Amino acid sequence: MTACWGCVDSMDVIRVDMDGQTAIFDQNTGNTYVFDILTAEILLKLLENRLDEGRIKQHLIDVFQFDATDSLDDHIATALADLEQSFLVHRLSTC
Amino acid sequence: MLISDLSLDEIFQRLKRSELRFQAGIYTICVYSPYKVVAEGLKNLYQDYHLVDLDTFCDFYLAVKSPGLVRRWFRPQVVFSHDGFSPFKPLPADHAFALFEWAFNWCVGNHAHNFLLLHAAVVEKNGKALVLPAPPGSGKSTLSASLVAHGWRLLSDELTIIDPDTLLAVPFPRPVSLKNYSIDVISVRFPDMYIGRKSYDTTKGTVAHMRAPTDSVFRGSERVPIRWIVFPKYEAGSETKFETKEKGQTLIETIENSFNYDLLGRVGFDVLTQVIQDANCYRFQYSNIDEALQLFDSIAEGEQ
Repeated sequence: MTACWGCVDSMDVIRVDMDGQTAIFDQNTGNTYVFDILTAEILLKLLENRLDEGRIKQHLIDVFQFDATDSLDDHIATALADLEQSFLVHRLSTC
Repeated sequence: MLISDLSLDEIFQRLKRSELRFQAGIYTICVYSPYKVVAEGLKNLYQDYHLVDLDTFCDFYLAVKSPGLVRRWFRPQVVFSHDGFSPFKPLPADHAFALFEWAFNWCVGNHAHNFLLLHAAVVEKNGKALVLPAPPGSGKSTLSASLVAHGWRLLSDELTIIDPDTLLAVPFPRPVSLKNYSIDVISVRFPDMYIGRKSYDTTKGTVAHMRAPTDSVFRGSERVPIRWIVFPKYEAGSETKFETKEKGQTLIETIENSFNYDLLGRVGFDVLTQVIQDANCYRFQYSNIDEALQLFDSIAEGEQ
C-alpha cells in the first residue's frame, strides 16, 4: 500500500464536513475528494502520522466512540482500500 | 432604448458596422455580422435588451462572419471570432444565429473567472434559485424552458454564475436553447412562448431558441441565493422520482459540471462547498412535464 502514497504524503488539505461525508481539497494539486467521514478521518491521521495504525485506531475510537464489539479492523481495512483506490487512480492519471 | 425600437434593417446596418451593442445581464456585448439571419435572430429573440451607447466599453467584441471570400459565395460558411481569435471550426451559413448563441456562451464561459461558472440552468421563484446541473441530453433545457414558460424567472439556461463574495446566483438571461424533440414539446405545451427559426443538422441536431420572458430580461441585475440543486434526468415513460442526493456526491458531480472550478482552486472549493451546504440537493427523474411543474411549484410554495 505504501508504494502509491507519495502524493498523499505531500497533501496540504482543507476539510469540510457535509452531512456525514467529508470533502477534502488538496491545495498542492487542486484535487477534490469526497469520502465518508470515517475514511476521511483515517486519511487525515495518515497525513499526520504516516501510517501509524495504532495511533489511527486510537483516534478513531476517540472520535467515533467505537467499542470492543465494533469490527474496527474491518472499518479500517475498507477505508484504507477506498483511499488506496482513490489515490492510486489519481496517481496513475496525474503523477 | 431597446433592440425592439430598431427595425430589422437598422439592426442589420448596425451589425455590419460593429455598432450593435447591448446589455445582457451583467455583460455588454458588441456584435459584428454581415448576415441577415443574425439580425433576424436578434430582432426576434433579443427585443427586450437595452442598447448601450457606441462609446460604452464592451466586455466582449464578437464577430460572426465569413471565414474567407470563397466561402462567402460557394457553400457559404460562417465563423465566430472574439478579439480576432476563432476557437471553432466554420459552420454552414444557415447556422449563423445558433453560432452567435454558442459564441456568446463561450465568451462568458472562458473569461468570467471572477465567478464560479457551472454548466447548469438556473431559475428563480420567490427569491430563491433552483440550479439544474446536468450533461447534455438529460432534459435540462426542456425542464428549465418549461419552468420559465410556467412563470419561474430565467437567470440562465446554460450558465450558472456564482459570485464568490456573496454566493448569490448572477442572472445572465438569454434565449433558451432547445434541441430536437424538446422544440416541439415546448411549442405544443406553451404555444404563447416565441420560438425562433430552426437550425438543422448542427452538431447538436436541430436547434431553436425560445425568447426569454421580458420580466427575466428586465430583472437581469437581481441576484438570488441558491436554495435547491437538482440533477434532472429525462427518462421516457418513467415515473416522476424526486430523491435527496448526498451532499458529497452533489459536490463531485457539480465539479464535473463546472467550467472553471480547477482554475479557481481554493476559492472554488470554498464557494461550492458553502453553496451546497446551504442548499437542498436532489436527483430528479421525470417524463411528464406537468408533474414536474407541479412538484417544483409545491417545493417553492412550501418554503415561503
